Amino acid sequence: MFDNVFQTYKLRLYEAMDNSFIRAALRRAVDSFRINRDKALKRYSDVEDKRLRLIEVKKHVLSNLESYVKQTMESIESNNSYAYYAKSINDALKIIDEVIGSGKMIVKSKSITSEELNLNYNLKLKGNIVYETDLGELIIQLLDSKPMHILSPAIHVPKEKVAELFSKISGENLPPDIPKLTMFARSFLRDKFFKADIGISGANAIVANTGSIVLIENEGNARYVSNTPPKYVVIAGLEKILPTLIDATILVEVVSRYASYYMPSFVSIISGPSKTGDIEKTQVLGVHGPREVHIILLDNGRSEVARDPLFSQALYCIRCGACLYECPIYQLVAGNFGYTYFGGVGAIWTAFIDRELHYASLIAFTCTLCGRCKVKCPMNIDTPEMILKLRESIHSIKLIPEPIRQIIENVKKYGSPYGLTNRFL
Amino acid sequence: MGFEMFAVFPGCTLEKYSSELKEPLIKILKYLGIEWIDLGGRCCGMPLLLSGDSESFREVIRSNTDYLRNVVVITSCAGCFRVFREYYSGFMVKHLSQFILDLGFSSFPHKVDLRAVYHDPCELIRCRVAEEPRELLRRIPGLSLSEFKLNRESSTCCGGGGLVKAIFPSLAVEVAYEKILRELPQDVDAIVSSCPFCYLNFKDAASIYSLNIKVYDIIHILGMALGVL
Repeated sequence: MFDNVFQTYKLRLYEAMDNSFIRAALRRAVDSFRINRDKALKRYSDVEDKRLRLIEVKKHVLSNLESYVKQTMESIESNNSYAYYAKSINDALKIIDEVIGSGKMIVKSKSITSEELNLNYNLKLKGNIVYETDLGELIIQLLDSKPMHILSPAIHVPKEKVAELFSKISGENLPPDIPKLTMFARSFLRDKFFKADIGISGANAIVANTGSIVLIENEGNARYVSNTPPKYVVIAGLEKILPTLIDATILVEVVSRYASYYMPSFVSIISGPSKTGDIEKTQVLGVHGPREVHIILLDNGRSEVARDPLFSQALYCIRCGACLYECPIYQLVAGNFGYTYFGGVGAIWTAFIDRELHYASLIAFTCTLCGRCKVKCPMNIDTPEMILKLRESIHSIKLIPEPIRQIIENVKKYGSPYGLTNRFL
Repeated sequence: MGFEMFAVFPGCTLEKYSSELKEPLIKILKYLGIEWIDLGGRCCGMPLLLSGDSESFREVIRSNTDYLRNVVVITSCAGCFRVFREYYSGFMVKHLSQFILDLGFSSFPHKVDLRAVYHDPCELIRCRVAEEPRELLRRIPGLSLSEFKLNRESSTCCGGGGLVKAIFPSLAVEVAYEKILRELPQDVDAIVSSCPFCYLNFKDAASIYSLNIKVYDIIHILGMALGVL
């Protein structure tokens, strides 16, 4: 079974590696990412102090996670919103089913946490229609493909392919002209935002003492998703909790600069439903924005990881995506080096959050352990050390790829990984 | 400083590629006129560490430690070097480049006409060994040294580490090829590294893709500069 998964995975890696579209797209992406990131870090040199402070904040929250979850839920409820704690994927899907039901039209902004729940599939199963509204994510959805990067999900799709796809949908012959393709996405989605019954998003941060959702974006789609439909649903991992709004603003600066932006175009802070008291001071919910706000805090293994002395740092990840652009393997195969979560740190998430141990093993053994991700990580996440430890756990449950089993046997038997050629004296 | 006994630890990869890597190393050491104990045939345990077999790794450490007490271990394998630094104790370890530099070699007798770029092996750079190999290369007459734009702590991996080459050999080679294609400075004839895995992986990339670039381990350059190769 595992050997079959290994062979399939290997084939997929090799196919991706030989795909000239992926290679070309990633080369361009890596080059412009590095230039822009370095420019952003140079222009805002104070980000160095801020990231160090953010590491401390994250550490503090994760070591007091239970009380922060409690505080966050109380704050959310005091904002006339609904707070839910979902222990598992099943819990989360049950809550979503109750809140959303069936036969709804849904607009959604990019959320990797929702990938963890296989959310679109599950919503469709209940007879809902879902539109992804992030441009890259929309392309992925229309292609029926899988996101290949946390920030740029369609990083592996060239403009020619997008033109072909959008032409098919519009019935027009759209040229591979990026601004024109973008305009098509705008007109295609515009009325969906207003017709939708429900908006769904993730969160970049949830503020414990104010119950606020913080959304960081450039396109402006998340603003629509959170604002135009009458009901707004947020699904966020527990690791997104930060104590105060000040901490969230620090996060905004750190994550955007390391993601190669000076400032994201839009930062939304949403603390409850839309409301007015303008007529006779009588409070009414739902004016121009949503009448209902539902926030689901997803655990799914996070509180357990948070207690681990080594692996807890995987939860420090703020999803800037810098490590992926700096990874020699990711540059060749994109998100195929991963499962729901990508790259070396993705192996840890695959093991403990997705709990897909076969894939966790294969991802861990696709890492060269070069350590460049650690050097470039704003949160100082020591991915190589975690990968080594993960390989150890994987070894103890005997999910080691065949060539590695051979190496172990050779060293034990002959004193060399290469076998008989140089035997111990 | 008291009595120093040198122990040469070629490691499993130099043993496997003996004529290509180990013999040149031995020739250099002979030229230097030092006395040493040969710990050939031993494995530092890194393959076990990287495989996740920590129990067997600890056994190898225990068995090696008996041989390594109170010696100065010399190795030219970046993998062995890092494992000795981070997982062993009770002796001193020097990478070949550090060892030769510490001997005070200020000039080499033979010219090596080469325009070379130095590639930082991950295992050395994470132990902050960056300047010693460069300093040696700079002292070699005839050799001009270039840098990758991303160098030292920022250097990029050749793809040969972490046992990836054992599981996904083509992927490892492709990483090296991509690095050469994307990062090689102009007017360079050779890539020089100081790690057998980088050397073998770059060499495979150069040969599979018929690239017009020579690949050396620093052992080869030192051997030529000393006139033993």
